[in-house]
Amino acid sequence: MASSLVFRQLLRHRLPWHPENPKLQVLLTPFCIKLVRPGKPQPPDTLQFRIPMEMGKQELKIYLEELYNIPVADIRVRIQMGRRARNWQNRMYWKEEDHKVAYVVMRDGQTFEFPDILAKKEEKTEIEKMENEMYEKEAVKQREATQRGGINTWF
Amino acid sequence: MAACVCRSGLPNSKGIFELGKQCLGARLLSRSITVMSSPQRVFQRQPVTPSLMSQSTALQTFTVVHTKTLHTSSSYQGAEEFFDDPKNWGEKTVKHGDAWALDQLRQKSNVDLWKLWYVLLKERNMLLTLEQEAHRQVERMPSEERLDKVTESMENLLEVLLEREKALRLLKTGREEEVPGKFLFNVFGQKYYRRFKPYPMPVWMNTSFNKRYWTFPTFVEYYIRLREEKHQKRQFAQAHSERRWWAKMVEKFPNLRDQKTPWEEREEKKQRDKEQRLREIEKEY
Repeated sequence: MASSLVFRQLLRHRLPWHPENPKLQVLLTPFCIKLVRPGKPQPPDTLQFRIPMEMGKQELKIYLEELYNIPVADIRVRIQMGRRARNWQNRMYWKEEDHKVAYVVMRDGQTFEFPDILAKKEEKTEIEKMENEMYEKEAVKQREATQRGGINTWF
Repeated sequence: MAACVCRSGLPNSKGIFELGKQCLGARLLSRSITVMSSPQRVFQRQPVTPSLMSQSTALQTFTVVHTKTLHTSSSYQGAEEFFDDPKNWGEKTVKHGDAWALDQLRQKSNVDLWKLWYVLLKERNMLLTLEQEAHRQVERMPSEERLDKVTESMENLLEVLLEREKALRLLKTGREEEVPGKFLFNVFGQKYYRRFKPYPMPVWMNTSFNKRYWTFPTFVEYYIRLREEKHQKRQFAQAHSERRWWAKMVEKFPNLRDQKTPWEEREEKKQRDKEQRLREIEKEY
């Protein structure tokens, strides 16, 4: 893509040749990556990322090692097509954007499990707890009554 | 500078490309960054009491000036950095500050901005991860305005860096763009902006190239004429429809008859702008 070429010219600075100097040096990285929960179960040492289309394997490796200090053993990359959908009534078609998926295998026996970030904290007042108990008791009573054909328990 | 409206992160990188395209030349900027002192020196600076103790008032003598130019939270270093602080997990709203304004960023040095870029980038990665997870669980992301603020501050940072680079270039070369260019005609007689590149041979010497690329053959003139006619026709049609519309409006609201028509107003504005520009040029010389 032209945009990526322009970008590479922009943000990579070519240094004069010297045995110590690298050929290219990245100064500002606009790449943003997401760590996602794997859809299919993965081995415990793999991380699944969503990365921009312009990003490559080597770039991701440098990114993770320099910024996040994650030891990288192996990286596999694939491109996922976006979902297509349509509305039959109005004859509308649309498609989500494609994205690149990267599976990063960690070194040194490190393991990772995706935590439950959005687990809600249980904060209920006493009145709400009492109400819930009441509702539960009534539901049990109703169930018993229906099982007995609408006749009360004392009968 | 055009603001990047996109909220999600991955297409946002494209927005940054376009930003870069508009003001080409982060290369000079990067050079200016590399020349600066090592980044560790900035963090190691200690708080210093002001040297003007004897001159200043009693209140100022007790104040301690912190010269630490940038303060960042400690980093966890690992995959946990992609998630928020465990205290904030599962809460509906998270407390956070405002975005970095342009005026705040202008006070920082280039090295500080460079460090701040990476701090913001990590924050943005964290927020994008959170957003993706919320989307997957079909839930609301906790305080989603954080993402907008981070993107805004990153754009501001880039703008400040490009500003400095532009100022430096104006001093050095007296030009706003890094790469000079010119409006030229291509083979089809269309005008386009050409950015100059270095070539082994100067342009005036390379006659065959000039014949092929800078000029157009004579039979193209007919088509240029046609194109101009098409453009004129469209313009006439627009003007005609506008006049019809204005007549209708005048029928509806008769008090418009005394007022100026929109095309007259436009011409007047054009004239005023021209005069203004002339006055500015006179001031300069």
